[in-house]
Amino acid sequence: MSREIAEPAAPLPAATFQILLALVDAERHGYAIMKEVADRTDGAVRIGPGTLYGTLKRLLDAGLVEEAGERADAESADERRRYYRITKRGMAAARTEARRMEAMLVVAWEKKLIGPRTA
Amino acid sequence: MSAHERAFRWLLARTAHGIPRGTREMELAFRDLYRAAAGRTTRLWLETLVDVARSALALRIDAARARAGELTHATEGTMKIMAMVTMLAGAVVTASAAFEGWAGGVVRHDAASALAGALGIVAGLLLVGAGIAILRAARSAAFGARAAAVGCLLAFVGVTAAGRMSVFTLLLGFGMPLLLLIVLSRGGRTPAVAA
Repeated sequence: MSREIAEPAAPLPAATFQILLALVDAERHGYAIMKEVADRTDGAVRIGPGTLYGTLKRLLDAGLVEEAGERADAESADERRRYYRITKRGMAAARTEARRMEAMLVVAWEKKLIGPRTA
Repeated sequence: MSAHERAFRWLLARTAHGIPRGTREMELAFRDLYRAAAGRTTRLWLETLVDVARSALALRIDAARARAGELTHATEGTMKIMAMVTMLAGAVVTASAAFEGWAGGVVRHDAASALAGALGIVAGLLLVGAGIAILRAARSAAFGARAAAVGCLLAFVGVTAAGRMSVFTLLLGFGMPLLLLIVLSRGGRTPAVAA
């Protein structure tokens, strides 16, 4: 189990949080996760296959994500894919990370780094 | 399968071997990326090479950590068995030395046999202690087990010098601590027996 994922109080690595975010609202297979992250960030964040499956393995070991069976993709329907879903523990870790970011954003807002007065 | 997919499979085979699962899914993901790239293969390959180079080390460390975990479990099993065998041998040596010491020292009034019996009892109890030390799996357990084994050997040198003892007891008294010292030296500095 990776130490960086095993401690929910520690900040999650960026790729880990992006993958958890991709799984919050739906079960997805590997490529669908990569595509969701790239689409959501307008291509600013692109996760490659090596990073994706390395991170997924650690998330599986840590119990933040679980396998949701194999089935053909609804769009391509060419080959069976292994789907992943977020667990309750994974949801809690993602929520903790989102709150941490929210707190940082509040500080940035108060210090006028972001907000209506910055242009 | 396209030449690009074959090249990616070749790359994975050289960077991600030892990873029990996931390579097939990585190939599928690359195939989807290749299709989505729609001819922009230079950028795809640059991103892929950077990604594989960055993640390969982490994947290998994870795989090595998993193998080390399996090895530790095997060592734990060996040490548990060794601890139980040592305690059993210690109990047998104690009982045997007590009987032989009583027979020689009390019945035949032979002081040397009585001394040999007493030393044999001490040696047997040291073996039992060594087994308990291994099972405790504390930080100082390896040192304690080794010290007990050496103490048992010294006691049996005294037993041999002091008087007569059966071949069976002598074999156990010399053989068991020697075997224990060999196993401890091969199994690492701390006998990792998980509680």
